[in-house]
This record gives sequence, C-alpha cells and structure tokens, in this order.
Amino acid sequence: MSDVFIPIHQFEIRYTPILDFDMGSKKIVSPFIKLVNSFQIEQENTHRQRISLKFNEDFDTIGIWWDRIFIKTIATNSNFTESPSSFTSLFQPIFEKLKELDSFGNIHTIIFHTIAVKPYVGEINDIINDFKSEYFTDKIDDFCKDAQDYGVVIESQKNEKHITCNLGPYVGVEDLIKRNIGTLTDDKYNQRGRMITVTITATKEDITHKYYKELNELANSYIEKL
Amino acid sequence: MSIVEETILDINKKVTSSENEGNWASIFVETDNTFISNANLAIENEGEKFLKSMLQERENYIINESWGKEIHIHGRILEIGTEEIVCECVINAEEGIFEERIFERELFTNLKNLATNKLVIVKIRKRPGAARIDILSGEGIVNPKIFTIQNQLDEVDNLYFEERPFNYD
Repeated sequence: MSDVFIPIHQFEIRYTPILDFDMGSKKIVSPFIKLVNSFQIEQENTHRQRISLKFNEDFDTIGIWWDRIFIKTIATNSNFTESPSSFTSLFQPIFEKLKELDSFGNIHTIIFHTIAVKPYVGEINDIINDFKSEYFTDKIDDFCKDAQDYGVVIESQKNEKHITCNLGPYVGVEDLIKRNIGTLTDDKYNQRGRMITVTITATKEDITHKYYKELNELANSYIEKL
Repeated sequence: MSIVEETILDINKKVTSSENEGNWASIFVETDNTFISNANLAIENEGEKFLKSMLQERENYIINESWGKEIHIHGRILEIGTEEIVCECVINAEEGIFEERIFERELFTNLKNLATNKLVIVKIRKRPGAARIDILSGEGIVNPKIFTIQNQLDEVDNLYFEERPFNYD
C-alpha cells in the first residue's frame, strides 16, 4: 500500500427521507459553521434542501441532505480512520444531532466508496497490455480488440456487505477527470498504473467509527490483492 | 488584486515617505490603494521582481497561510489557572480515551463566560515547521454526555480503590 494513492474517497449514510429537513437542519448545522472554510445551501427552504460544508482547505466536504449524509475527500491525504479526525469531530456529531430530530426514521444503507491508484512505470500500451494479459483470456481479448478502455468488475457478498470492485488500467489524470472531480494539479496524478474502485454497500442500524475502520480495512485488503 | 499586490500595499503602508527612495521609488507610484491599477506594467513587473527577491531573503515570510493538516478536538475545561487552563480532550470517544492537555490562558480570552465544564473545540492546524491552535466555543457541537459517562467511570474507579468491600488480612 506504500505507493498507492487515493484520489477520491466517500463515506455515505442513507436514511429514510426527513420530510421537514428544511425546518431543523439549519439549527443543527449552524454551530459547525465556525469550524469550516465555507458552506453552501442548495434548494433552500425546500424539503430537498442540501447543505455542503467545506473544510481542510476546501478539499473535504460534508454533505447533509434530506435522505443522506456523506463525507468526501478529493485529492488530499485526509485519513478518516484516525481519532480525532474530521470523521469523529465533525461528521459523527452532525449525524448524531440529525438522529435526534423527531422526524428522523432509520438508516437503510451505508456506502463506502474509494478510488485507488497503484502507480506502475511504463508506457500506456504496456500498462494496458499488462492488464489484458493478466485478466483477459484470448477469446475476450479478441472480442475487445477495438475497445478503447478495459475494466473488470468483481462482485461479492460478505455478511451484510455487498462489495463491488472495478479495476482497469490507469493512463493518467484523464481517467479521474471523467469522474467530474475537477482539476488535479499534483504530478502524482499524471502517473500510470492500475485503478481500483471499491464500493461497499451495507445494511446497518447504527454507525460507529469502529465500523468505518472495518470497512476501510476490507477495502484496503481488496486494493492490495488486485 | 493578487497576493503580491496586497503584500506590496501592506509594506507600502509601513514605510514612510523618506524611505521611498532608491529601489522603493521605482515601485511605488502613489501610497493610496489605487497605485497598482494606475501603474504601468513595467513598474508592476519590477515591483514583483523586487518583492520576490526580498521575500526570498526573508525565509519565514508567510505570503498566504496554507495548512496541510487540520483537526478539531472536542473538550471541556477542567481547571482555570492564572496562566494556564487544563482541558479534558476527547481523543477517542468510542474507546473512552481522554487526555488532559494544558493550554495558555491567553488562548481562551475570546470565550465568553469562561468557567469549568465549559465545552470547547480545540482547532489545530499544522504544516511542516508551524502549527496554529484556535480555541472555540463547543456549545451545540460537543456532546456533554461523553464527559458524564467518563465521570461515572472515574467514580467507579475511585470506589474500587477507596471502599474495598472486605479485607484480605
């Protein structure tokens, strides 16, 4: 895992929609405003109101919607497994307050999403050919000879967790820009290698930092193996 | 207005007219806030070059503060001394890890109604070679129940050591 970098990571809790979200959400979020760099409110005063809090030089975001709350980091070294971290000091306290709303129902899905890149030295064609020779049989290779991009999807189920791994060659920053993550200026994004996207969806009644770390460990084990 | 322009303005305010000689005179056209927009490009470039060379000589000059790592620690005030304040800081609430940390009292002067048990947020920002600590009110953010549980655990600990149910002698 030493050379692996994580350009995008998102952890999301989805709950039953809070129909009066616009009534109570501002009161919950207001005390946290002094801790963040900036904030944004979309669809204000409607039940689908969306609040975004940006912090850590605006690279990290906490989104609070009527049906979900998420924490997202783009192009930073933010480590939410640490304690204290933005996860334990901002994300969890806001969610705990949301749960105190009379109209809060229950959590129905947890989504853990990570995009990792393992850099390899080589030309674009070598990177693609290495990937094809490792994962494709001749028959599939022949079928895909005119394809412009390649990928493999692996799905598995472990207890309450559904894991989807999507891997393919990483030919440079354009592979990330396709995912609408804005401008990435650091040289490390221009490396080549293999990109692994791990998405874990789980059903869980409550969320702890320990459970987040468990998901992170599981995702890392896939990234390491693939 | 660029950062360099803002910095030139800032420095400009600090120098007196008698110092506006030699190199300075070639940079500053006027001492009001409009001088950069009125100056021609050649003067601006010359000013930027001079400023850059001057800043390179002053290693610790901060043009734009940018912090690499930012953490927010939840806490409450335990003791208020004349010089220092002791805070109980939450390191890991789930595992019950708390730390007592001592800060200079001056950092708390912006807080209203300073008293023991007041909830605070310790905001720490770091980058190589520097750190910044801000103390903010934790009302509405810090959950006071975390400390109540800790208090009860402390009481149980004390009970165990002070009031043993029987003697082994």
